[in-house]
Amino acid sequence: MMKRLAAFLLMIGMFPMSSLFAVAAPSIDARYIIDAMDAAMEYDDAAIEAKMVNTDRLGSTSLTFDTFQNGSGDTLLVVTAGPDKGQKILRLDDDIYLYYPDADEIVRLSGSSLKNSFLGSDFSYEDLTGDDDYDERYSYTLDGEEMLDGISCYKMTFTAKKLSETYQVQEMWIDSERFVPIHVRLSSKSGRSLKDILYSDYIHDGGIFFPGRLEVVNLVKKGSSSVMTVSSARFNVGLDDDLFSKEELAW
Amino acid sequence: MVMFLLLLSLLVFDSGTVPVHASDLSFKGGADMVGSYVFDDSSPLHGAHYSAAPYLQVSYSSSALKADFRGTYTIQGVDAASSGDPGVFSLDKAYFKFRFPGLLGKRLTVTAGLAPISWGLGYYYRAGDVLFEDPIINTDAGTYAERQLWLVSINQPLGAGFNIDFAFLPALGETTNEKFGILLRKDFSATTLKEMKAAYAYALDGTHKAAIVADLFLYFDITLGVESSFSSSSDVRIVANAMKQFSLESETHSCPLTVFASSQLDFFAACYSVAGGVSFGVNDRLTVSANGLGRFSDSSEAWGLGVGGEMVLVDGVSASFAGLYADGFPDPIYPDGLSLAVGLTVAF
Repeated sequence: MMKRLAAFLLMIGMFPMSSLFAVAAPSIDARYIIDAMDAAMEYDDAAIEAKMVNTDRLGSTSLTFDTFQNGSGDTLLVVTAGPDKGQKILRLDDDIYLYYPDADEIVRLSGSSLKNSFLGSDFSYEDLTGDDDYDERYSYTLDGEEMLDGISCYKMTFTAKKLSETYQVQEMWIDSERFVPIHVRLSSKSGRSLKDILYSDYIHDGGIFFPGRLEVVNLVKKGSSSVMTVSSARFNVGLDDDLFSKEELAW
Repeated sequence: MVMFLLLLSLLVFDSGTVPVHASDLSFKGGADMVGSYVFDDSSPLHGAHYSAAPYLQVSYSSSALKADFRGTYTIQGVDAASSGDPGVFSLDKAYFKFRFPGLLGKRLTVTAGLAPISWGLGYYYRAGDVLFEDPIINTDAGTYAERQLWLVSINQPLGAGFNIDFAFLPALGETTNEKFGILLRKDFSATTLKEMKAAYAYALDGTHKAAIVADLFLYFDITLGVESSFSSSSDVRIVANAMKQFSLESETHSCPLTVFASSQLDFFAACYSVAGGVSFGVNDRLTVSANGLGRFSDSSEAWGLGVGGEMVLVDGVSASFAGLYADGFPDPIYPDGLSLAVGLTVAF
């Protein structure tokens, strides 16, 4: 089963596109773009190494982490450097488990806590590990074509179907040649822009595109941003299912 | 030589297709510094207190072997003018973990040394930690108590969500009598029931302890536990915790809010305890909290109210503050009256 890595925050703007297929497409062109983007970024499983730098008015903090995802969407994230080194996060179905090595304790998170910040970044645990219900959350339209930083892009708008969504409107600029997202702007219902997500330095491996750099700029909190840089990305590597278990989490 | 070959074989053992665990030797250090003041004139703890506890940790990790060693040197004293006690070194961790091919195609894990172990459950009051002499309390709710025991333990996953653990504890450290323990746990994929554990420990002095704990999701994250040492018909301790993390959303902010309530009914000691609190993430760096605690028995009652906060200043450096007003607890757990504390934590 093909599945895109939910564990990469880029999901805020572009993940479960395959699930969006279930939504009645308002335009054949919009459907084609989503289809092409999904094809460009699909994989069976993935192993990603990345560094994240969070900056706010008081300075910067950084960490590195590895993420693994299988075809069922189970995700394991391991913090490999930084003050939280050793902390692991496992997502199985709708539950997220955290491992605290100093106490040898596994703690389950659920519900609204999934929306809380991931280790002080502008991303939430939910952003990090995907959301299986995302397919029913947005409808979308193709607005037209625009040039963005010298790249010809399709511009699309996603509108939330429920008031409970944090991001009621998402505008997405998609490279019209490679069919990968370049820029996503997240807004509230009133139209206030909340976050910009910028995708760049795409890795192209075995026909799969993956952003090598992802920057999130918090448009509400002045000077606050998170930048992730991918140092290694491997796809369709045949991950062991036992990797996505509480026993592996506690190792 | 045999030991060397054994370690070598463990180091090269890797059953995964992808090298998920690259070998990693790391050093971690830091220091916790705390200053506090107890205002109550009648308390033996009246006055200023300070402590500094630098620590160093060395860790090794690969797909088949893990090792952790951590030592802390603690200096503490009363009143800044006094010389204080000489420092005390403590070994916090010193253990190896090995993984072998086990039953049913699963990996068997063996742990040996002074290691953290968590057989129980509970956000504040806990049940199920039967290997420990006394019940464990996560006094900093949600931070999870760090306590270690000298032990040799074996974990074997059995498939279908079942796991079994065996442990042997020599009479070292806080273990006063050699002890054996067994833990059976089952993970559930159900919406409500998430996990159940049944634990039993037998000590060579003839005492034994058993517990059953469950992890549930019923709008709140709930843990329930029953524990007994079977010393009398009333020797039953029941623990319940309810916790919920909310995300307060507005157009411009998203802030985490955690509320919890916890209770412990100790029928043997005829003592009943309750605790509750709330913590709020003001922003990504600052978290503030308020907690309440009460303990009631036929002959006495005690209560306390506290506020606190923690702020990440820069990478690896955080500051904290706490204020507590308590009445009726035996010193030195919570001194009567008002006490204040500030702390600084540095990690590298």
